[in-house]
Amino acid sequence: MILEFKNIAWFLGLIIFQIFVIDAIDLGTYSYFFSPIIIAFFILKQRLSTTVFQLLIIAFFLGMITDIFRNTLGLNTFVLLMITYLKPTFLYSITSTEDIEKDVELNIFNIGILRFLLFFGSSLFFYHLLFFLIEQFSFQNLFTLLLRSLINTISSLMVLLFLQYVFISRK
Amino acid sequence: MRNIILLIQKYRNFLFFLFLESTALFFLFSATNNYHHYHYLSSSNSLSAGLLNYQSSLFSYFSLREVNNDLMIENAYLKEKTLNKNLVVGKKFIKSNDTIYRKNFLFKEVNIVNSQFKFYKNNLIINAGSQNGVVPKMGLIGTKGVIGIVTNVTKNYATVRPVINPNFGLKILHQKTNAWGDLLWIPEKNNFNSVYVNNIPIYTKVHENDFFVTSGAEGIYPKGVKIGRVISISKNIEDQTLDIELKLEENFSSLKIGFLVKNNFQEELNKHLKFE
Repeated sequence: MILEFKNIAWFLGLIIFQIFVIDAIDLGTYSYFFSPIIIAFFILKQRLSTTVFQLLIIAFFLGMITDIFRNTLGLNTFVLLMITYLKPTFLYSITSTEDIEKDVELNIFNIGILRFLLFFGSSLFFYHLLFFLIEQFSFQNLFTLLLRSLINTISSLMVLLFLQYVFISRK
Repeated sequence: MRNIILLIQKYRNFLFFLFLESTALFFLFSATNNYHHYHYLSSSNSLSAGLLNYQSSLFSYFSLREVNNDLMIENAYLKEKTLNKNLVVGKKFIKSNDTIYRKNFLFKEVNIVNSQFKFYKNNLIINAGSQNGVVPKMGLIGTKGVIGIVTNVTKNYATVRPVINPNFGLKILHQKTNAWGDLLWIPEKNNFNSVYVNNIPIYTKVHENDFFVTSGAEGIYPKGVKIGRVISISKNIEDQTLDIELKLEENFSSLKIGFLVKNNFQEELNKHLKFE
């Protein structure tokens, strides 16, 4: 069920962490390269039994709230909806359909570190690439853009690893 | 008809996805000039601005020392100005504290509640709004130089578009030669402490460490507020202009306080600007 307490806490927690911690980190000149967006974790970690319809609604509101705080109206929403719709594509390109049970959350302890890195890495890279492309709205400096996406993907994976080790209890 | 309904049922997820996606696109591309965007769905609405205000009040203790130093420098500068405030009339007479002499610019100090500096389109929020007499198109200067221009005002807060935003444009002056140029921040090339100046004629004698200042032409800022100093100059032979890179005076990564500029003669000036 998507409306259970744990999910609501993750929903609000991720937005608060994104806006008041990650966006507030100041790395001087290098901040241009450090602006990871981790809210997509909420969509990606949902159980496979959650319907696409529910996920799309949640993604819309998650993206909208983040956008209102970051003054990028519609940008995060667009990319997040895209990620939501392509989630099965990313997942089944790295693993077979029977490998993962339908009713477990897709976090690092349930799907293993290798599959976590491949699945979340590829989808977060796609997220950042699309985000920066639409933000810039041109193909200029494509190499810098790829580099930015790569660095931000790696840093967001690190943040997510940290969050999961702290907040998810292992069985 | 039945086939159409079956088709819609089959692709309902995809259609719903397309619907939400087009809503997002609509927001994205109608965002710049939309009343609702500016008044309800931007970060200066009461809820998000209130939260950001709370964050700023939590973290402002950590930089009190720097803010104090800046304020002391500013105080000294202001004191010097008020003590030496004389009005020269003709060649011989000097009037001071004249009641007829009207002040052109008024300043109001504000706190910067939230500042962005690492994004593509950066925005600031200040803790003064329409209740305090803030209107759009007012200038904001800091303790060292120009910060930005007010774009949107709500009751208690206002959004400011800083120099480090690609939509910010200003005509500025080279301090030594009075040559006019256009200020431009290019997100792909500049970071938060540099900016470009275009359209300076190629014969102008510009050296490194020269200052660029505001022109005061549109009445938004007083004349002569510093913007930045030259760090590199390159010649553009095709356009016969100089491409100059400035280091901004104001440090946009640690903005805490600013001064709103109110021009008492703005309406009068606007008539002339329109007349041109």
